[in-house]
Amino acid sequence: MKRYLNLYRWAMRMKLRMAMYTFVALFLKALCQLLEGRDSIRIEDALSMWGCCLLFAVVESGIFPEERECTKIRSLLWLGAANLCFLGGALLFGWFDGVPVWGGALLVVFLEWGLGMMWFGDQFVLKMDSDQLTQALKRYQRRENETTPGV
Amino acid sequence: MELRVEYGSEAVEVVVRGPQGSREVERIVALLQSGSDKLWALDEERQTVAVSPNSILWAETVEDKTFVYTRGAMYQAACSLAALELRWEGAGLFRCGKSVVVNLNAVQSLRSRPGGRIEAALESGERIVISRRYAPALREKLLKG
Repeated sequence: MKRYLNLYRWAMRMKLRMAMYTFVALFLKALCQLLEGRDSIRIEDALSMWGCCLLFAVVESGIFPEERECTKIRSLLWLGAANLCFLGGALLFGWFDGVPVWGGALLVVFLEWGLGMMWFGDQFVLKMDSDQLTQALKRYQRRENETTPGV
Repeated sequence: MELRVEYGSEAVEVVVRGPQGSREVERIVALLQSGSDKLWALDEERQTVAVSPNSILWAETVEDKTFVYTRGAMYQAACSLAALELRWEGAGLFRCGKSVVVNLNAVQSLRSRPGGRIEAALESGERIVISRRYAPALREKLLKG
């Protein structure tokens, strides 16, 4: 039962990230299509985007499992995997074939910026908050022990 | 028995005055020396035992039954989670979820999680998630005292 619950929790977290990446990929694709004067996205493109996002979400959950600390190596692995999945997927499946060079460069900059913001929010900010909370907890426990003799 | 409380700025001092050998005095002294009142609960063999609230790591409600977890055992308490929290808030019990109460004195570290949740790591190695609804109350309790 415990194993099932852990699997369920992992799956829910992973699917949330997958959905987020898929939405962003589809949004950018839709935007590029609109700018090129088209009003539809091929099903093959949508499915291949979803597949790459699923793959990356699974890999990401392996690189950053919940119980592990964020290290430099894990962060670099994550960055590498992200670029491989998204840039690799874009080149392999031709998601943004009609986009000019400067547009492609802009998309790459957006990708790296987005990944950087995610890393900052997920790891650095949360870690700082965790350290603050733990310090506050220790102070609370010291206060409680001082005011409750015999504990 | 006459009860008199005098408020002052000195440290808390309890003086029990009465005739030597008085059963009532002995009972009051025993109660004070016991540290705090106990939680009466059923152990896994359905025996009634007294559980010290300080030894409670966390508690939860499952199908209208309240279960209390200490370092080495699990007990079924007769009272509700709300009663547990209300009576022993001073011992560190804190409502961290709809059906979970955790003893903050038994928490080793806290970890901020995405979505506003907080994860508490207990001395026993277990991890309790403080839901986003109760996380602000925990922050306030810890940061403001």
